[in-house]
Amino acid sequence: MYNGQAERKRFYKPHHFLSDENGSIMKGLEQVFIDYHPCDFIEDLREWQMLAMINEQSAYDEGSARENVLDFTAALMKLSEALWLVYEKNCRDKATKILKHAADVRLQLLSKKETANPHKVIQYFCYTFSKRYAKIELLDLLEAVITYEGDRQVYKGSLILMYQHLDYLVKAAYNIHKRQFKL
Amino acid sequence: MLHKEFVNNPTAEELWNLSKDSVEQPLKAIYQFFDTYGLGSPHERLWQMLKLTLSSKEVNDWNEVQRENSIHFYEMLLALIKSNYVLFLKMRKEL
Repeated sequence: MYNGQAERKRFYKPHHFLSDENGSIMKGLEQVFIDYHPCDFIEDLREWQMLAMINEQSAYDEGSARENVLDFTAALMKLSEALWLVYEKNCRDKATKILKHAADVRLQLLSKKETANPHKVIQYFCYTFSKRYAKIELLDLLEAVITYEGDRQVYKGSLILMYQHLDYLVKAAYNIHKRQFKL
Repeated sequence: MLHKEFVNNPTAEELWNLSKDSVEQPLKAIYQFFDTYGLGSPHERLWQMLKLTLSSKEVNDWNEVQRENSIHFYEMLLALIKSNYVLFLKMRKEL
């Protein structure tokens, strides 16, 4: 007999675009840029960079590790702008309709040349950093921010959400790069 | 405001660090700086300097406070350069 209560489904999580392995990359990017303005990635990554440098209990004890993460985050910031351009170019009408902030996006880091050819930025990122390195570095960076206990004001409530979106950007970059060069 | 008392009452030694020219024409230095470098270049140079510092072996032995202080100094200096650039743009308009 139906008792008016929905059947309880155990061990089930609603579908999320970030965990969809076979979903469309453009659809995923759309969700990323609905959730975050391209400037948000740059702002948060700049802060993450600094926290990683300050935190003594992190993977960045050695000077070379610190140099690597500084270069990686700088490239990731540029990548977020490049992926925005790729998404905007592919789905221009949709982008302006769905994203209220689409018209306000002002790129901060890409040069004129890079803006004209964002695929070069993606290519540079994918050639410079292996997918494995990028995944681990992003996790180390997240750990450094989570374990930071110093004086700087850090809102830790949305760290995982930001990490998931950054991770998706990295995934999208390798996917686009792979398709472009049919690797 | 760590050094408020020094800023309000500069010591003789601090004043000696200023040349006669920079006391009489402080704006000249701002013009000279941005005429030479613009805004993008100082930003990039300062970042490279911080990056080299933080990537060095010596910093391995720094504690959190020392690292935080150097980053704080970088951020304040960057903010100072940016504000001076706005001043520079305003002054140039008035010419």
